[in-house]
Amino acid sequence: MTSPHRFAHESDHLAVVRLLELPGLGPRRLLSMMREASPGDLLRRVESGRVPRRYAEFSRAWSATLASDLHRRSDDEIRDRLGDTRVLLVDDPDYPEHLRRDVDPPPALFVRGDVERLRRPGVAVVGTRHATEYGRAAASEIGRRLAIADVDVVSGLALGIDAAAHRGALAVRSPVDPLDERGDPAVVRRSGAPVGVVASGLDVVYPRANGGLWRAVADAGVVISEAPPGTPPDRFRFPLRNRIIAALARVVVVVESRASGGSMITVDEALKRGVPVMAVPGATTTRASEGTNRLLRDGAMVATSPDDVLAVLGLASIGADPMMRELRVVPRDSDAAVLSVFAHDPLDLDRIVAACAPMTLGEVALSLGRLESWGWLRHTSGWFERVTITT
Amino acid sequence: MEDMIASIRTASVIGTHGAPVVVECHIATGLPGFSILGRPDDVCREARDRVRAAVMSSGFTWPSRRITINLAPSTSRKVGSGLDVAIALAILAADEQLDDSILRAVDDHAFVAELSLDGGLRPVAGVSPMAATLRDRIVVVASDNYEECRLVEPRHTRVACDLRGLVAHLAGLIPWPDPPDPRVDTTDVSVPDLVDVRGQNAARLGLELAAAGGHHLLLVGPPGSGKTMLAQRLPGLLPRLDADASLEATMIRSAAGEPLPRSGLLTVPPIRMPHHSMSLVAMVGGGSSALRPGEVSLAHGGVLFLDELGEFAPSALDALRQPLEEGVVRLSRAHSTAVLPARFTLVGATNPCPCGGGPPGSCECDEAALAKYRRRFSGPLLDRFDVRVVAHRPGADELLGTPNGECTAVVHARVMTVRAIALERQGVLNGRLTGPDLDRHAAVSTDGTRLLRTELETGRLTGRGLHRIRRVARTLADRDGEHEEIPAHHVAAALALRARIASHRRG
Repeated sequence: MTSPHRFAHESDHLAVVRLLELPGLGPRRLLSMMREASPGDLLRRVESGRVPRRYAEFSRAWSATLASDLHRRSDDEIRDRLGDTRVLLVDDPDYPEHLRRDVDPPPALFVRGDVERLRRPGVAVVGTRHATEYGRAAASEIGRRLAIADVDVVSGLALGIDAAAHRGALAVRSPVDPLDERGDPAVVRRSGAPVGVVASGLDVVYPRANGGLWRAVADAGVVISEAPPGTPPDRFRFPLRNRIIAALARVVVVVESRASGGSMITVDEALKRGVPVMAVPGATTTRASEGTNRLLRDGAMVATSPDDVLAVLGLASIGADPMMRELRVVPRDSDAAVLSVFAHDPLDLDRIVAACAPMTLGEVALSLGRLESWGWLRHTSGWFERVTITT
Repeated sequence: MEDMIASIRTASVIGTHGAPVVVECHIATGLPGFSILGRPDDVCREARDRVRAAVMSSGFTWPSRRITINLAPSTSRKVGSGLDVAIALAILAADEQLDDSILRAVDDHAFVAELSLDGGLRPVAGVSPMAATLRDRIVVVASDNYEECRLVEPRHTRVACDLRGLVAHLAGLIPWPDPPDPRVDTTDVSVPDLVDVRGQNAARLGLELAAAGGHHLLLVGPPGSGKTMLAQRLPGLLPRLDADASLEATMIRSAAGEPLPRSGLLTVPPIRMPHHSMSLVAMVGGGSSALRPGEVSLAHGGVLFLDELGEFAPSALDALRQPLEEGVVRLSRAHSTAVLPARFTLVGATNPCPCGGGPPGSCECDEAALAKYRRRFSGPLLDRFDVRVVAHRPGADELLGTPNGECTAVVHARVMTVRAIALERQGVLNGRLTGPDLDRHAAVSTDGTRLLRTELETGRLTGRGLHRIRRVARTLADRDGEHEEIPAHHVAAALALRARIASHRRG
């Protein structure tokens, strides 16, 4: 039978999709079962209720689930759902070696994009969803410089820092200026790519605001998940996802994080695996930097610039940065005066007008509008932040 | 014994308008009984028992015959206890317990007061609108209502302490008592001053624009940023109520039974700050058959401040539409209808997002909570607010170091100038400019038009938003003495004065 899809999905692949939908059968349990038998065999055993004694308590629930309408899908339906998604079982030769040797490897990986990208570990750049413009700029710059140095950028495709890091990495692969016919050296040279590790199924984009970014990352790099297509973004899946990020990384860089949250879980997973953790320092007044500053106090390495990260990797920083061309309109006169008021802290309209005296509110507002449209400033609910680089 | 008839004048109140009422009494032989016709409400019906007790304890005899009271005109609703004295006198007259001289005197008088069980006269709500319909008569009220009654200038105002005394005064046996001493007008009602506000320049400007242009104002800021404090300073910036407006506002308060200022007349624009748990009826008025004025009417001529705007019931906010557009609220009930004045400056206050917000990176809300919050502030609601300013929690510098800003008097003077300019040019305040008038009186300079075009083309400005911006820019330009075309920087300032609520989190 010929499959219309790019990948011939073997019966083991289809079986693992069915197994992963069983209640109480998490990655760890499935992995230990797969050490004894192939997914196909396992599925047959579960269907007939012949499971090992230590899973006896689940046996009835499993066979009932498999018999229910929801799960009585034909193989073709599962194949359709998988589409262009590649399935890598833990004993598959294409399954990333360093992930296989991990303490807690996913029994199966669902992959969209370039599988080759998973062969070598990258650098994880993670952080809070509630990021400031400062954090976004730092994440984006680290992502970009890592990609230039041919290091893959692993992150979670969440809002905020994750997205900024990936955007930074993506910027290296896209032509800088479509009008520039000479082409850009950074595009020609082999560069690192974004590696997105997500918690939901690959066809369930979450958060939806990042839909465009998901596609871009899958096109330029790779997006992986240990959950089969159609899996919703359940809460418990995110900490599990974070362990994969840590397992795929040589270094974990936390850009901005609150005192608790997903990034801190990634840090714990990294420490468990002996992966070095770096943190970007932030203002002591910002909630978004509470966690990272605490990490620094507790002995994490300081990442004050992308060079610090490259140094830990043993890579020399590339002197002339082909990307660092300022494409924005250079502000002059009153616009320059207004922009000069901004340091890293966000400012509200009142403080900007006060600092720009004797300019009137109207004149300041005119400049702010221009600076925002040129990409120098970002305005969110009454606060203005300086945008450091555009990616 | 013959059947006897008497008629006495009084009044009732519906909404904020008084209506004259004639109390007719008929006493006939038959089984003792007492009925009141002419659509009395519950309180008015209870007059039966109050009047009986008052008549007996005042030393008169209660006719144990068939008493029928008719409140004419019999089709309109009568409410409240202000008819008590008139009913009592009508019964006494019909029962021939009053001399002819008294009956003659009664024809010139009208009576608006409640009776206590021992025969004393008690004040009632709504005396000034009621007395306003009895201007050709001598109005007799309880002494606590004297000042309020005199405001509307009836032919004469008299007070009496109790029913017995009232009859004696009418008979000319005892002279009418002196009116109570006019209450001391404690110089001026104190209005909070803008000088107390530290920093908050954007919000200060918002207040000034609201006062100068009649723009409705939305204050967006985290808890503790002083939104209520700011709103309380708006009445001080508005023009003092003139004689007519003052009387109107006073009558509304009187009809609602709210206490009046010591001087009697309301001169400072009112500010009403209803809590968001209020009912729809409390907001627009109605409820009892008196169609009591609601918060929108009580705010007439002043400020309606809705704190935690998003917490108000959608129905209550929706009900603001008519008052905001027409300046009146029309109440229609099965028994009666009323048109109540309700022209006010709306000031809303809200947190920028459910968690209270703060500088970037400190918001706790997830996307679903933000979306839910945004839905509460539907476009039509936000469209009401021409000016939407952000109030920030003041920092230590502002609390300690900054010099005080301008005081209310300085800003008030500017406000009056701008209002005069607008009224002279177009007859209405800038906030009420619409359609063709906007084109005629708020033309934008070429540079300003370019700015607006960019905003429209990038989708950051809607058609309705455009009108708002032009109105606010007009006021800003008037404030700076630019009375012709609106320059670009005023357009930019107007654009900067429209905060967004629960803005989308970025990817």
